[in-house]
Amino acid sequence: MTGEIVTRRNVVGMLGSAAAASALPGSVAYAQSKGELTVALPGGVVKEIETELYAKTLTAEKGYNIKVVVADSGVLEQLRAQVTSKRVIWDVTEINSQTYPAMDLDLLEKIDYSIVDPKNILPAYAKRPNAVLVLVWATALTQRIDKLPAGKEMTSWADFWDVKTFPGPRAMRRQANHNLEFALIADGAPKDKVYELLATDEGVNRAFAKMDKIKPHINAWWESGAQAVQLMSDGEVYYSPMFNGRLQKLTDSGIPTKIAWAGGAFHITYHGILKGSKNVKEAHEWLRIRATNPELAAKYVETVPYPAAIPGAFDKLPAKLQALLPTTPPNPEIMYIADEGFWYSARGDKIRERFLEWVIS
Amino acid sequence: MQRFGSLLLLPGLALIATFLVVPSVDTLLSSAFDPEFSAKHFIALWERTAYFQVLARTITVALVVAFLCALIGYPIAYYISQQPPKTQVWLLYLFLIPMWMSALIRSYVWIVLIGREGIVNNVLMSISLIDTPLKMMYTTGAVYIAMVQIMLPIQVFNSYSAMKDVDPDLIRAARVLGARPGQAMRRVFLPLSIQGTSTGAAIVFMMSTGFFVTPALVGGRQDIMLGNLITFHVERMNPGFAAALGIALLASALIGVIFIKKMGSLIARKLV
Repeated sequence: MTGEIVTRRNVVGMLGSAAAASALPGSVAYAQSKGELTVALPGGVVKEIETELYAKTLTAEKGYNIKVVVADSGVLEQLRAQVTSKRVIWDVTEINSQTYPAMDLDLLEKIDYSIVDPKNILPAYAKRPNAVLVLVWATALTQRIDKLPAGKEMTSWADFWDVKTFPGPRAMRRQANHNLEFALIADGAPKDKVYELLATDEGVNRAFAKMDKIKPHINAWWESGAQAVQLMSDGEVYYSPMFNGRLQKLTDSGIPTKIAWAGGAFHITYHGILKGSKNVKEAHEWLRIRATNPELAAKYVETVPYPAAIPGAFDKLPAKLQALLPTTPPNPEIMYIADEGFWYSARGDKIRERFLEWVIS
Repeated sequence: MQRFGSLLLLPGLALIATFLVVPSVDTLLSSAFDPEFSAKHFIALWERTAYFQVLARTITVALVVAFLCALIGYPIAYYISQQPPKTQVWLLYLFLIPMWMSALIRSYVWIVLIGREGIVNNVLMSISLIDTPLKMMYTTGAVYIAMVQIMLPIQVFNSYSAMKDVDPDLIRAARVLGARPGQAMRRVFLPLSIQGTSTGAAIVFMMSTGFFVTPALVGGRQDIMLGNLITFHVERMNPGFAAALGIALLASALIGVIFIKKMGSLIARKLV
C-alpha cells in the first residue's frame, strides 16, 4: 500500500517535472533573446502610469517581456518570504514607507550605478547602495481656501495649531509618525532638529504636550489618503495634513485647496532589486529608465505629482503643475526629510505605542 | 446509502480542515513558539494597557451591536412572519438587497446623511432648529449606526427562520386555554423563537469582533478595533504578536458567544 502511494507520488512528481522541463527550455530561449522582468508596485494610478510610460518604453527599447503586478498590502512580509525561500517572483519592487526596512534586512541586490546612472546626473541622496530614488512625495498642511477667514491664509504648522485665528474643523492621520514632527515644528523647533528631539524623552514629551493642545479640535482621524480627500471635499474638515498627490483630484472636482509646504514631510520612495532575482541585468535597465529618464519623468508628473530627482526635468512644465511638486524650489528647503527608519526603530515603536494610548484616552 | 451520505461530507470537511483548522492551529502555534515555546507575546500583550483597552472596546462594540440588532431585528422578523407568504418573500428580498452592496459603500453613505454638511444637519439648520452643525459623524454613535445597519439583515433572517418553525397551533392552544394575546406571545411564542434570535446575536457578535473598516471610516478618535492593530503588526513583520492578539480576540469572542447563548436560554426559561 505504502509502495503504491510512493509510486503514485513519483508519477505525479515526474509528470510535474516533465511539464516544468518542457516549459523551461522555451522560457530560457526567450530570456536569452529578449528578457523577462516582473515589477511589483502598489495598485491604482501609480501602477497604471508606470506600465504605460516605463514598461512600454523599456519593452520598445530592449524587447523585454515586462509584467507589472500589484503589491499593496503585507508587501514587506511577501518580499522577505520570497527572498528567504529563494523563490523570487518579483524582480523589482517599490521601497516605500511600508517596505523601508528591506534596505537594512539584506533583501535587496547591490546596485551597479555604472548601468543605472552612467552619466552621473542623480544627486547623492538619490543613490542608496541597494535602492535608487524614483519619486518624491510630501505630507503637507492643506487648506480649503474657500473656508479661510477673509484675507488670511495658513502658512505653517503654528497656524494649524492657532484655532483662534483659524477656527474650523481639522483632521489628522491616526498615527504617530509625522504628526509628532509637525507638533514640534509648530512648537518652534527647527525642522532639521526634529529627530534629534524625538530621540530624547523631553523631546517626545514636548511633542505630546503640543498634541494635547490640538486634540480637542481634531474632528476626524483618518487612516487612508482617500479618506482625507473625502473629508476635505465633503467640508467635514477645512484643514488637514495631506499627501500632495491627492490634491489634483480635489482641484479637478472644483474644491479649491492650497498647500502650505513649510514644515511638511519630504518622503523618498525608491525602487530596489530583490536578492536572488534571476533578471538582475533587466532589473538594472528598469532602474535606469525609471530613475534617470527626464522626458518620461516630466510626463509622469502630469498625471501624478510625484517627481523623480532628475535635475532640470521639470523646468518646462506649466507653473500650476510645478506648484504641486515637492521638488519645486523653495519646497525642498522648507520641508524636513521624513526619516522612515526612525519610525521602524525600537524607539519609534515605543512612541507609536504611546501614541496609541494617547489617542484612545 | 448511509455510507454514501457521509462521503458527501468529504469536500466540506476537506475545505474546513485546509482553510480553517490548519490556519487556526498555525496561528496558535506562532503565538506561542518563536521559535521555542515562550509566553512572551502574551506577556507583552498583558503589559501593554493600550492593547487591552482596544480589546475591551472591540468586545463592547460587538456586544452592543449584537444587542441592538436583536432588539430591532426581532420585531421586524415577527412582522414579516405574520404576513401572507407572498409578501413575506418580497419583504425578505428587500432585506437581501443591501447585503449585495459592499460594507465600504454602506459605511460611506452615512457621510451624506449625518455628516457635518450632510442632509440631516442641512435640514435642521434650514428650519433653524440648530445654528451650528451637530457632530454625528466620526463618533462612536456613528459606528453603532453603521454597523447595526450592516448586520441587521443577518439577525432578521435568523429570527425569521426560528419564528417560522413555531407551530401556530400552540399560540391558538394558549389562547383557547385562556391566555390573553400578550401572555400567549410572551409565554409561548417568545420562549420558542428566542433561540433563533440568540443564535443571530451570536453570529452578529462574532462578525462584529472582526470589523475594522467601518469603525475606521465613520468612527471617532477612540474607535480603533483590535483588527486594525492585528493588520498593523502583520505588516510590520511581528507575526508572533499579531497571532497572540488574534488568539486573545478569538478567546474573548468565544466567551462572548457562550454568554449570549446563555442569556438567550435564561430569558426563555424566565418567561415560561
